[in-house]
Amino acid sequence: MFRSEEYNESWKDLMKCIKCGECMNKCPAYLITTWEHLSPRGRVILSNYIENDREVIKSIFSCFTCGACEINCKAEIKFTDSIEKVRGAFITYNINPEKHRILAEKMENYGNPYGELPPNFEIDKAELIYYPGCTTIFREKEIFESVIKILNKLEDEYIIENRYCCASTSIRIGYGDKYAKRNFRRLRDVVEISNAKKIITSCPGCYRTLKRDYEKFGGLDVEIQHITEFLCERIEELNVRKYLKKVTYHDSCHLGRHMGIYEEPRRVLREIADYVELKRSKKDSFCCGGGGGVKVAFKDLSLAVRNERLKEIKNSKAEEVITACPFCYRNLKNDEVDVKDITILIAELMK
Amino acid sequence: MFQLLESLKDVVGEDDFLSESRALIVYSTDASPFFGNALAVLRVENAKEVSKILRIAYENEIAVVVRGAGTGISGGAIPRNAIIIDTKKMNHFKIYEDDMIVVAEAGVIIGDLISELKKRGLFLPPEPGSASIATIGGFVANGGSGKRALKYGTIKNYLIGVEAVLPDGKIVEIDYRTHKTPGFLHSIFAGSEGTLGVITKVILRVIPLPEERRTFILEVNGFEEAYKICKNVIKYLPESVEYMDRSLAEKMGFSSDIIAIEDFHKNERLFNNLKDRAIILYGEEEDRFWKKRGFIGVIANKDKKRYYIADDYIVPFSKAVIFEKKLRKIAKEKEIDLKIFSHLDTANFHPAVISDDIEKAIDFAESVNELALKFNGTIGEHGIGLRNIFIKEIGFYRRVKFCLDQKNIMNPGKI
Repeated sequence: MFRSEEYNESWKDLMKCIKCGECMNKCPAYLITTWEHLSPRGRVILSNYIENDREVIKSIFSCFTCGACEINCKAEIKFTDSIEKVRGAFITYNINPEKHRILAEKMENYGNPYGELPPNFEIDKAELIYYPGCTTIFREKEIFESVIKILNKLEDEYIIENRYCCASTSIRIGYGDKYAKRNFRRLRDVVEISNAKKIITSCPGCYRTLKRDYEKFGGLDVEIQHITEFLCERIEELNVRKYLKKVTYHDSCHLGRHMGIYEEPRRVLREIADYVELKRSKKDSFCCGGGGGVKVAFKDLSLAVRNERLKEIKNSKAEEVITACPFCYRNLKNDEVDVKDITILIAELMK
Repeated sequence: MFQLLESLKDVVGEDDFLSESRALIVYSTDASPFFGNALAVLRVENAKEVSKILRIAYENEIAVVVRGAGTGISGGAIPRNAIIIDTKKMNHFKIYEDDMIVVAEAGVIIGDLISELKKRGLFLPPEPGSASIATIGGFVANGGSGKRALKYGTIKNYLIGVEAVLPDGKIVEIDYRTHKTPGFLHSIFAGSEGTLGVITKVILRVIPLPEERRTFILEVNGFEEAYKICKNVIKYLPESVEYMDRSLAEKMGFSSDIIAIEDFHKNERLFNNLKDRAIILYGEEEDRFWKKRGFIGVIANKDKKRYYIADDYIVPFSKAVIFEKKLRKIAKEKEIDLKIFSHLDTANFHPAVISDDIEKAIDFAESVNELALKFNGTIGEHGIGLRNIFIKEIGFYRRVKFCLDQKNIMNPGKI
């Protein structure tokens, strides 16, 4: 049997795989379990077999979409984009983890994956739209409040918009454009009504989705910034005092490898604190275990990946790890290591 | 069958057992283009578990294939209705710094071992391109080498002891810790490709890490000139002489064929011979070059399909030029996009076959196999795998195997 004859056109990029296995030593799921079917190479092979088989489902849906394998792939396969399409094909046959189906139902009924009623923010004329993202709004409110504090201090005119989820999670777990389009249309209207020039978001998942995934719908005709880019430009105006702890930074996969934002958060942190780098950082950073819908469907695996990252943080010289993502923040928070989101830190340090 | 699977599962436990799933297809292939059929995967943690599994397999005459990281490119780890013993969880090693000896379990990743050795000023010269993921057990079982084989030999030259489980479940420990060892039994496992038993531990001798290193790069006009230069400089014993054809060298930023010559010992005579026409790389620049070289076969082929087939031939040094010419001629006739790199000092060729059609690639491989045999050539370092036409006196080999494996359960059909 020759695999090249088996591939599906819609993810033909995977055909370039020569099964060298180099991807494996970057994949969090593989490094933690050392099961080969839970590695990118295993997933490439199993993408041919859309079958209701427990281990096949685990293989396809245990990818954190962290993009680390792409760094090592000498055939330059865009694995993360393809695995989303493969997941979509599985969903067509109703083969995916039950918890992902529940998440999709909540997206359908509530407009967000948490099944919460969204707060009603008023739309008015403003230069700036803050799009917090649902994890920030519904689960990590401290990040939301900190950003508001920062924006108020800057005295920028802004409005808040979060009627629908950006659909980052539902795209990553294979539901494609279905929910993304809904939010795209809503955001496009909000931009038009408000006449805003810029959207900022404190969530790298939203950032990637708004800036990259919405491109295929024509894109939002407005500048889109992650909060770290925004802070990097405006840090002086915020007049923050020095932080006395030695800090390090955990790169979010979506912000770093997906969107190439590595320097901005570091510049901000170096400005205000004594900064040390983690062993695996920037493009080689290791996932927090919170991505790709794995936490919802395979909690043990997600926890094991998180613990591996925490071990590295504990072994570093830093007293506190700073995140720039509500998912990473939520996932890494624990009793042994101090974790803080960059927004919370800056808001605390404002004089 | 159900009861048999249950008794195998009992050995390793549920968490380290996989069967009755389509996911087994992942363990039915390696980096070659071929697939077989794995019946179950058992992830072992020590020789005792391996022994229990082999006893069951031997009694019930079930075929067993040993698997490291599945990075072999000759199909050596492809099972044909066999259970898989996965060694990746056996990943501990200990370095005896003063003795310059390392004891490593079979599943240790070669790159991890090499970097720990480096920290202690030690060096294991043979190293495959896939060191960052491939396991030491697989490397030894394939008798691998990589560059530097003319001067330093292959992994066989460093193997001084093994712990292995024989097909009937007997554990043997050939536990030498010296740089010279009597007897030969440990060495029969090097290059045995999982046909004689399961290697669970290897004992390797290593050497002091050279303190200085540099690489000379020379642009040359075709393979013949590269060969002449190589022939001229190998008398100075450089660490390695590598060749890349123009299409590959271009991917490395050069404009013609190149040879790269490694020197670890500030070799003055080599330097004087090459200084007028070579660029010399040091430090990070040198590291980057060799890292890229490790994956040149893949880098050269970003948009098209490369098959790991016809990928490894070694011929007598005097035949290298004519072999290369004929290789290109066959590729032209068979309409194969062929790129060639080689460990030139050992006349070990790694043709990269790029084709849209696997049948065409196989047809090409068959012709080159015949050509290599005509030149008294064989497989260099990727293992025999599915290509047992390259084994000499296969009957004799099978007699040796029969002594250990009367039921032929270990990787049957290979070698």
